[in-house]
Amino acid sequence: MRTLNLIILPLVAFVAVACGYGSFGAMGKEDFPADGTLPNADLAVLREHYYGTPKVLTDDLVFEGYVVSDDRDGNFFRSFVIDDGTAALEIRAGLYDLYTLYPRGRRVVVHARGAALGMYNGVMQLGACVNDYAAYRVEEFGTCVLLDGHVSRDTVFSTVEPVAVCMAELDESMCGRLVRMGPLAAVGDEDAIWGAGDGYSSYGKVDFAGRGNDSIAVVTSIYASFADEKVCRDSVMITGILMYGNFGGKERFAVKLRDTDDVEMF
Amino acid sequence: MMRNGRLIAKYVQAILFVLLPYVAAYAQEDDYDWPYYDETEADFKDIVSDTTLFYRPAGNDVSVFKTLSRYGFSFTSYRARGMDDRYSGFSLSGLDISAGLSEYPDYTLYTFLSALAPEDEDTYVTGTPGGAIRLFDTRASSASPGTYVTYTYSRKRYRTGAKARSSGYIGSGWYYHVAARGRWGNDAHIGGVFSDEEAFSAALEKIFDGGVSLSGFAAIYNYARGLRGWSEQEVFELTGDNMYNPYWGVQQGRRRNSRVRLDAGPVFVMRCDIPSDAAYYSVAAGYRTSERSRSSLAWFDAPNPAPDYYMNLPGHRSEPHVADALEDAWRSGDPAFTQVDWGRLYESNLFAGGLRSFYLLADHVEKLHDFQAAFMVRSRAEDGFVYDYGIRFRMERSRMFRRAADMLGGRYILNRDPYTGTECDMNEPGRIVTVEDTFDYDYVMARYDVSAYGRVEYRCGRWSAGVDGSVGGVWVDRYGMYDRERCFGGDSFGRSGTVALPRYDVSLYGRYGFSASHYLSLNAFSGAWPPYYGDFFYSPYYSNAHAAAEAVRMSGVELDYTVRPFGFLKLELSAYLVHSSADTEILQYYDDLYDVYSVASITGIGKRNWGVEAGVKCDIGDRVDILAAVGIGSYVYSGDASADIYEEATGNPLVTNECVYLDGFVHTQSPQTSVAVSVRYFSPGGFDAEAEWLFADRRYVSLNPLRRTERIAGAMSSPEMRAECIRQERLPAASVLNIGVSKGFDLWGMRVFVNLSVNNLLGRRDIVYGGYEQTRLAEAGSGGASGYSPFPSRYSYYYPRTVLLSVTLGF
Repeated sequence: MRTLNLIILPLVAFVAVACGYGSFGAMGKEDFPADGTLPNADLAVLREHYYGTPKVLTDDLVFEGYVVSDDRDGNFFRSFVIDDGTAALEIRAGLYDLYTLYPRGRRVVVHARGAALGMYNGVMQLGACVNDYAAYRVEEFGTCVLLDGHVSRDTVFSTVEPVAVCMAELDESMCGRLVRMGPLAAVGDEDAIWGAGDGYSSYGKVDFAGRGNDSIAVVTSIYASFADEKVCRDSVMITGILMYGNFGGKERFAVKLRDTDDVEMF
Repeated sequence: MMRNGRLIAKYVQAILFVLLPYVAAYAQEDDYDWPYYDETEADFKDIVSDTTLFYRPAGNDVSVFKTLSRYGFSFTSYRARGMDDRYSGFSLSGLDISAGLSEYPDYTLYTFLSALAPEDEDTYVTGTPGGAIRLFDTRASSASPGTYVTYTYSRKRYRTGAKARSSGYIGSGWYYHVAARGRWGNDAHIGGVFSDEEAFSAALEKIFDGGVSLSGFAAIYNYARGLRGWSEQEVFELTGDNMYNPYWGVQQGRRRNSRVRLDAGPVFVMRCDIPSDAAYYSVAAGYRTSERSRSSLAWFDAPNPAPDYYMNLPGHRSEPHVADALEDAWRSGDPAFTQVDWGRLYESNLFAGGLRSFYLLADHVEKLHDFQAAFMVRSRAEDGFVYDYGIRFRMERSRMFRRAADMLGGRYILNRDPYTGTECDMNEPGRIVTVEDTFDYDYVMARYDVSAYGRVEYRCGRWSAGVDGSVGGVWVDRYGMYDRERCFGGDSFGRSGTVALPRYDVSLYGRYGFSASHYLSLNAFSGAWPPYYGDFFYSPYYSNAHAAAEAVRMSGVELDYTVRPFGFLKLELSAYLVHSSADTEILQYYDDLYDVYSVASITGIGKRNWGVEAGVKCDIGDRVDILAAVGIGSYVYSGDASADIYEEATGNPLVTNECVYLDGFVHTQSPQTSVAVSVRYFSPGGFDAEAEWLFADRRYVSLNPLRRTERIAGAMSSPEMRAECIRQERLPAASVLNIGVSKGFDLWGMRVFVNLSVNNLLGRRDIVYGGYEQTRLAEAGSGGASGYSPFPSRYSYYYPRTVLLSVTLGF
C-alpha cells in the first residue's frame, strides 16, 4: 500500500495542478467597464478660445464626443472626428484602421491637458504636440500609448445626426461638424470620379451646386476606396464633414464624405 | 558476518554503478524542444524531410566529442557539424521516422518515443550526411526488465513531470512493456511558455521456439505547449528581460499565449523477426496519424496586434515624441502594452465589428497519415563477410489547412484574402467562416518513398572494409482543395502533377585496427537526397506552381583515428569534409522595394562543411574521469547562387536570374568552434557528481540571402548601410557551467535514485541562443527616396540558471 501511495499520490498532485493552460472563456461587452467620466467643458468653448495659434493645452479640460467620421473607407487618413453637439474636434491619432476601436457613434472622453490644439481647414484638431514646420502644425499622436493617454473609449454608442444646413447658413464655426446639404448637383465633367487628383494634391475635388449660384466642393482622397467611382450626376443630398480652406485656388467651404452612403438621391 | 556484509555492500555498489548512468540518462532532459524556437517557427518544424534511407550501423563507438555535444550545446542553436537538421536520422524498428513531408525532424515524436519505446540508442552510421541515427526499438524484450517511476521538478518549459515504465517477461515466451509520461506546468522563466503533455504506450512480444519473434507496439500522445518568440535586441534592452516573450498577454487575469502548439495521435508498429542459420530477417509495418496545429493571431483590416511589431518599437520611429512615448511605455513594463493586449482585440470585435471579427485566433493545422513497411535482412558473418539488404515503402498524406479557433468576441469572417480582398475559394465565394471552419488555405500533400539498399562488409584480421548503397525515388503531389481567385501561376485547385525525385547514395569505408583500442577508419559517401517540398513549390499554401525540382547532391569524407597511449588515456581525432550542391530555397516575404508580397526562388546553393574534432578521455583511478573535446569547423556557402523573384499573388516575375553573393558566408547559426570539458566523480557510496563547462564561438546569425544581392544592397541609403546590409553579424561567444549530482540508495525495499542537475550554474542571462536577419527594409527617407536600411536581426536568449530534480523509484 505504501508503494502504491508513493506512485499514486504524487501523480494525483501533479495532474491536479496541470489543467487548462490553453483554455480561456470568452470576453463579453460586460467585461469592458463604461467610462462614466463627465466633461467639464464643451467643444464649442474650446473653439471659442482658440486664437489661431496652435498650442499645448495646460488646463485640465475634459470633453466628450461621439465619433462621426472614421477611416474605414480611407477618405479620412489616420484621424477621426468627434462631435459633442456644440462643435467638432478632429483627433489626429496617427494610426491605421482606427475604425476598429473608434467606430462611428462611439462615445469618447478627451482629457485635453498636455495635448496640442490646432486648426486646419477650419477644423479644430487635437494632437500630441506642436511643430513649426508643417502645414499640419499639430503632430499626430502616432502611437496608442499617447492616444490612449488623452482619449478614452466608452462603451456607450449614439448616432450623431448630421446638421441640416443650406449653403447660405454655413459658418466657419461649424467646421468639423457633420452636415447635410441638398439638393445639390455635380457640375463639370460628366465622367468625373470622386478622387481625381491633379497630380500634385492627394485629393480630388468635385463641385456641387444648389439652386442658387453657390457651390460647395466635395473633396475626396485619392486613396479612398471609392476614389475611382463615378460621381453621381443626379440631384442628391450630401452628408460630410464641413471644412473651410483653399480648395481649387480659392477659399471656400468643402465637405468630405465618409463613404458613398453619404450621397443620397434626392 | 563482517565478510558477508562487505560482499553485500560490494554487490550493491556494483549494481548502483551499473544503474546510475542508466538512471542519469533516464533523467536526462532531451533538449529536442529547442528547435521549436528557431526563426522559422512559423512552419511545422516538427517533421523532417529525410535523406537517410536505411541505417547501416558502423558501430556504436560513441566518440567523446559526440558524448559531450549531444545535449551539452543546447544553449546555442547547435547542429552537429553544422549540418542541416533535416539530415538527422531517426528509426522506429527499421521504419524511417526521420523522413517526411515537412522540413524539420519531428522532435516531439522522438521525445515521446524516448520515454515510451522499450529501447533507444544512438548509432553512428556510414553513408549519411548527419552521421548519426537514433534508433527506437519497439520489441518488448529489448527493454531493461523492471519497474521504474520518476517524478521530476523542472523550471524550464514545465514544472512537474512524471514518468513510469515497466518491462518484463510474462512467461511462455511473452514479454511486455508499458510506459507513460506526463509534463505539466508553466515555465518558471519565460512568460506564456507551458507544457501540458500526456503519453502512453504498450508493447507486447512473443518469441516462439526457434527464435521467431512477433511484436506489437502502440503509443498515443497528446500535448499542448506554449511557444516563445524571438525579438529585436531593442526589446530585450527596453524590458530589461532577455527572457521576454512577445506571444503572450493577460486575459481575464491569466497569461494567454497566442502561439500554442498542439499535437495528438497514435503510433502503431508491428514487427516480425525471423532468425535462420544464414541470416536474420525482419519485417516491420507502421502507421501513424496525428493532428497537429500551431495557433497564431490573424487580423483583417486591422492593425498588427504583435506587441513587438516594428511600429511599436522606438528604434523604428523617427518622430521624437512618439519614440520617447514608446520607450517610456516599454520601460514601464505594463503588460497591456508590452504583451499581446487581448482586451483590445476583444474590444475591437465586440464594439466595432458588428458580428464580424477583425481579429481571431487561427490554427495552422496538419492532419497527417503516415504508413510504412520495411523488409530487412542481415546476414550472419561467414568467411568474414556480412551483408545487409532491404526494401522500404513509405506513404505520407498530410492535409494542411487553416482553421478558425477563436473569434475573440466576434462571430465570423469572410473567406477572403486579408490583403487583396480576393476570394480564397471560388468554389464558395463569399463564404462565411465561423469557429472550427477552414479558411485561407486547404490542400493535401502526398509523398511516396520507395527505396532499396544493400551493404557488404568484409573483415579480415585487423582490416575491415565495406561498401553500401541505396537507390530509390520520391514522388510528391499537391492537391488544392481551394480554387483561389488569385494565386501564384493561377492554378490552385486540384492536382499539381507529380514531382518525381531520385534518391541514391553510395559509401565506402575501411578500418584498420592496430590494436583493440588503436584504430584508423575512413568513410566516404556521395549521393542525392530529395529536398523539402517547400523548397520547390513556390507558394504551397495557395498554389500548385512549382519550380523544376532537383535533388540535393552531397559528398563527404571522414577520417577517424583513436589511440589509447596509456591505459587511463584515450585520444580521438576526426576530420571531415561534406560538400553539397544544387540546393534550393523558396522564401515568401514582403518585398519593400516592390511593395508587394513576393516569392524568391534561390537555386544553385552550395555548402561546404569541414572541420576537425578532438576528444580526450582520462580515467583517474576508479572514481574520476575527465572528458574533454574540441571541435573547430567551417560551415560556409560554397559559391554564389541565383534568385528569381515573383509577385506572390500572381506569379508575375519581378526579377530573374539575379546573383546572390553567398560565397564564404556562414550558412548556419551553429557554433564553428566548440569546447567541452566534463569531470565526473563516482563515489563508492552510490554518489555520482558531474561538472561540465561548454564553450561556443564563431557563431553567426542566419542570413537572409536576398540582402546579398545588388538589388537590395544597392538600395541602401549610404555606403555604411550597404556594408551593414551585407555584413553577417557574429554572435558573441558563449559558455555555460553545468553541474549534476545523483545518489542511489535502498528504501523500504525499493531502489531510489535522486538526481539534481543545475544548468547555467553561474546564472548568466546574456547568452544569445541564436539570431536571424529579417527580410524587411526600413525607408530612410520619404518613400524610400533616400534609400533603405535593413531591419535589425531578431534574437533569442538562453535560459538563466535552471534546476531539474528527479526522483526515480525502482521496483
